[in-house]
Amino acid sequence: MIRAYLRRAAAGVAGFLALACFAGAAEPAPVRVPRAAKAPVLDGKLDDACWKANAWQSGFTRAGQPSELAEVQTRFQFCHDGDRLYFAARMEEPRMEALRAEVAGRDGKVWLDDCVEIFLDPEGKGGNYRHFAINAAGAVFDAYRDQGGHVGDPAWDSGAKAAAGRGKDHWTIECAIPFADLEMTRAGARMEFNVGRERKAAEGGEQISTFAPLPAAHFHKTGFFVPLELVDADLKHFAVDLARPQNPRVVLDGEQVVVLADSHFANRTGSYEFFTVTASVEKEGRLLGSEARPLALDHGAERPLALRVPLDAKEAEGRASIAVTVARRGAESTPVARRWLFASVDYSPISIHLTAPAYRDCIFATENLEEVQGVARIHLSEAGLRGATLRLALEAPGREPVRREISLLKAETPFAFPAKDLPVGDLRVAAELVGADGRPIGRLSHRLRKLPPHVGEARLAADKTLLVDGKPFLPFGWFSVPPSIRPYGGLRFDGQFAKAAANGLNAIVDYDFSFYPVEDLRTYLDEAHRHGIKVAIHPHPHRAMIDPEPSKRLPTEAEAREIREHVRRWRDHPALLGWYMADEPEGVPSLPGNFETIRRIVLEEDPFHPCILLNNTIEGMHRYAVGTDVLMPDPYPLFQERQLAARGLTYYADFIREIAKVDGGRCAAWVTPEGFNYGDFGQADGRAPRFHELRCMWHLAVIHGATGALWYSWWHTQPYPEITEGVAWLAKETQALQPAILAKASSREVKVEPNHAPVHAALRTVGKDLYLFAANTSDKTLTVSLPLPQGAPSRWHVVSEDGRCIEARQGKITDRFGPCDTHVYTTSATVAQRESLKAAAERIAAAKKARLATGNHALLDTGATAQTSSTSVSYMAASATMGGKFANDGSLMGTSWRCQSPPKYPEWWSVTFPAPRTIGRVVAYGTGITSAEVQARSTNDWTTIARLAKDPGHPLRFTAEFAPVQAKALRILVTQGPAEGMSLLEVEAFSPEPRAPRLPPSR
Amino acid sequence: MKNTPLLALLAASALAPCLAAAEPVHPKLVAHWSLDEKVDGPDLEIKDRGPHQLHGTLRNTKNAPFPVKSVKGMKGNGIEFEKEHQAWIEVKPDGALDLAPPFTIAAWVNPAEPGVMEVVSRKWDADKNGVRMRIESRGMGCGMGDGNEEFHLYSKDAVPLPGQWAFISVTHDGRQVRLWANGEEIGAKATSLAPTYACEGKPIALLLANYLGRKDAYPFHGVLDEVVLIGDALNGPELTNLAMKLKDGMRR
Repeated sequence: MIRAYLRRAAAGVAGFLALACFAGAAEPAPVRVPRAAKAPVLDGKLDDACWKANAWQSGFTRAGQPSELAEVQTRFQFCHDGDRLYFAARMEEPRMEALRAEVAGRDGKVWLDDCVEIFLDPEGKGGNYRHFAINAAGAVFDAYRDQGGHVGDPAWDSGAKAAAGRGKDHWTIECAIPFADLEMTRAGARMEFNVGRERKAAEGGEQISTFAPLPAAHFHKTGFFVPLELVDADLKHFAVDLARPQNPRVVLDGEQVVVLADSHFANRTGSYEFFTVTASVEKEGRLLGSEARPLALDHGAERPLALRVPLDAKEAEGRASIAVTVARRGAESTPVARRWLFASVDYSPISIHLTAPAYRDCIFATENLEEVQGVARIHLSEAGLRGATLRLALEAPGREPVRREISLLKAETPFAFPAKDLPVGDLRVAAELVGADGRPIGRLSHRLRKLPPHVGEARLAADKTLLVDGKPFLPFGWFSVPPSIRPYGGLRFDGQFAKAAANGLNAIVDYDFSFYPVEDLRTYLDEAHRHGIKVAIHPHPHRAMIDPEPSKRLPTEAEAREIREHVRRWRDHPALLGWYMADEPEGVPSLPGNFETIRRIVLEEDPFHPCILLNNTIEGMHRYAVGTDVLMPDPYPLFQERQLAARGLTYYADFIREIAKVDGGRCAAWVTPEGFNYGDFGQADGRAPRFHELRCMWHLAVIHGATGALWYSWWHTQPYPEITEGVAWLAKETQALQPAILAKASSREVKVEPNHAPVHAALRTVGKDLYLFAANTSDKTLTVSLPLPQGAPSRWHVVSEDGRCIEARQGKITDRFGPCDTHVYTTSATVAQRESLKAAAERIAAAKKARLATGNHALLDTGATAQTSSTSVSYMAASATMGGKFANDGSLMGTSWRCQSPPKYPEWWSVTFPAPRTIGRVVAYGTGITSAEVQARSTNDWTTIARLAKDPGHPLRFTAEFAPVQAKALRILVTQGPAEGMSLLEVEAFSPEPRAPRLPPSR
Repeated sequence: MKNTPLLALLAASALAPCLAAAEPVHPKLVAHWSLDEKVDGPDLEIKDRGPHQLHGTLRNTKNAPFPVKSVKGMKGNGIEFEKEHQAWIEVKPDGALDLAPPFTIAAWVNPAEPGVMEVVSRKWDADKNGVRMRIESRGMGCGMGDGNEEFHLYSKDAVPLPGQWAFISVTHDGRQVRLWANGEEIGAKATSLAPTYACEGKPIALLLANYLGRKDAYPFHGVLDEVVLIGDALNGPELTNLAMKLKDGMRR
């Protein structure tokens, strides 16, 4: 996972693989997928006519050694029948007696066995793809992979089926994958793919081979996938849009328990079609219920779907998968689309939902509540409601209960009790539902609490904005700002909290400090508090508790006790923002119940701070909402060089909009925007976002309801002044706009004209002033009109645009938007002029200039380019050039170059200057360097000009001073080092009279 | 070759045995105008494939270039009607057309624009007799009368939508009238009213694609295909099956 990797990177360790041979390679010819006259029988025998008729693909290379053929080969082919993609593979195996095939069942760890892995990217953009792994016993693992493959969701289940077979010297598999599971709606007949093999039967250790040559022994490299072309494939019937089920609820319809949910369907096939829509509920692979009905629509028509699944009352408990499947009428066995949602299917005839207090069923000391208000949801049929009575009582210790009796019940029956002068402590709303015949139907006791005052109380208001000590608070900050307290790999980064605070940032999430000794954590939180920064930390006291395996089960009693103590210890610290529950748990997949249990502990011990959870999928937000109060997804657009982004900027909109639908809109919406260069982590063609794209991401999230942002990640942005300075400036603008950003309750969508324009907009009201946020999500320049409400003023100020004003005409603001441009219009001249985009640009330019002002000729900003002898094998592999750049990006934080493992000394790192430079001094920061030379090249040959000497006063620094040489390039040649390899964090090269190095001195 | 009325009659009579022999789309079919004719002249006969051979005549009120076109329909051809030309198909009154509950009226429609337009019109606006199915400004509706009272029902959904095909139906099972689009119920109201079909003693003609009265009032504008009358009140799945029978595998 990216975040596990980054924790290691925080210690200054990273690995990359040299891949010079891949630079500028031509695109390979597509592998063709013919249409089979007759679909193969899935028996693992490969004796079907379709396999005999067509050519096999082979030539697997060793993963990580792309010029070497695998010692033991694999061959495969694909075919299709218009509804399914079929795959056959034959794996040669001279050691059949050692073949490993122990994993059984669905979604087991088949990669521990001899297996074949198939990667299918239907859109060919590298943003997301499907991953299938099949072992030599035919067991299937499938996952939906996102963010270019860095995160996966194995809870996604396709209809893929497989069978395996064995011969004397080989084994085989046959597999069928429904096109419906590949979401062919946006795909054409051309996809991208790879096939890999993990050979455990090999003598001397595992052998990994791949069809598409790969620079590292890591399959999830979408940039190296190869084209797959479906021949004679009419995919039009897959061109449907089907929304995942949402708003699940369990009700009683007559005597029948029924699961209801909503979806939406659109026909984009090009013609009128008759479909069958089937809603179903499954738990742990068992079908609990389903209901099918017909649907007929013309092309272009769409309609909401009301899903209904009758359920046996005994099964109406716990969590289950609610699925909607659409198939063409008469072809129900081959769906065209399938979506699902993991949700609670608990049934109770009555439930109580408090609307005041609106958060955690707690009345906070800073909350001036006049009445306890709520709704009794009665899950009976209309007939059942007739004549029934609801008896309610608000019970407080030492007081007479206050009672209500309500007849004329509705499915949602409101109630209220006076709330003034309620005592601190536990209170109850007791409810009894009595039928028309006087017999009780159900009883319920709903707990609420009146809380004492608490310094640093952080709670959600009814509109899901955050209040700290009763005042509006907009968290705007970073992941992973290093504190002064602890060295990272021997380096300290003092002053980062002060710098963050000076830059207007007020919140941090940190992965590591929860697990440090108590006094260190206290010092860390004290430092944050001194700088006015709030911190979210894990509720877990031990790092092992956030490892994958413990998160897949419920906490043990001992773990629960430790979590309880940990929460009690830190709940009173004034720096505490909240509890960071999980980071992309769907990729594990973690058990939602794990976080639900921990959240209950947190609620009990610390009702004063929210739980925060980060997801990378929309389904994940629904699934894990039970464990949190704040959803803070990271819907990275994946910015790219050759196009705006692998995923559109509307990706943000989808996630933030969805939060309002998760668990009835209970959670606050924050966001983790992409504040780093994903290309640094192997994302093909990746780049850092530019300032205007950062602003667009944030305001787009605001438009759709976000009220907080924690950017990822401070640690990895130091080489990018546009990000470090850009987000700092955005923090200031956000402070100016805070009242408008938090005025969510007043928010109205503005329908942009023309209505197909990719501009999102929302209007907010703060007192007498209006604010209109508008963001262009495309890379095109557009002119759009933004209709204003009747009576709105005609003169608007454009925020931060240096005094620009705009006049509305005929009730509309018409304005030009550049690519990813954002405009915030307001009637408040004061707010509009508080910050300046011109100042932001100047600030960024100054920071870029300051980097160059150090006089470091090796810095990549000068145009210097790095090369290396090798790069370590890593799941985040990159080219030699990319790996090398981490040692001249001007930052000791985040990343470094690491040579291959095991190393083959001498290993080297070199930098080529854009023009010859006179060099007299070299400073290098690295690990594992026993002996190294500094070499220079002025013509064709390298000449050693000095040896690197360890700086005794610094844990990682090496220096060399020498008579000035004029060189076109410089090289650090490491002649000796340890067996585990060496790394360079940074190399600087100065002229004979250098300025002071920018990098911090050691302590 | 220009289709003269004589040739059309000869062609029709030559075809008639074939048409009569085709299996009806429903055992209780009353009338089925498939609108497959190549319409290129006025007074063109529009064949009824039903058992009563209630053929209609294409008419329009203006001396204009032909106001209708044969276009691809949902099964074979359909007829595209232009609003300003106000053409229609007229079927002479016949006892077989006097539908009594249970009955179904259904047709494929693809309206070109929003607005009120007749699909099957056998009712005067100011009279309490007859039956009609039409597209309303938002959705569809029906009306009927039994001489003493009138009944009207409008859909809750805005179907059909301009530019999209929809299979619309009205059913009356003797207790309830329902409106349907694409096999889904979009309106229902209880009534036991059984329509009658004479106004001032004169039987009411049946029109397709226009109003019996002023032809510029609710002319159909769009494509019409496969109009059927059935002597039974079909339910949703039965209407879907009917729609499937009345559609071929042709794509646009």
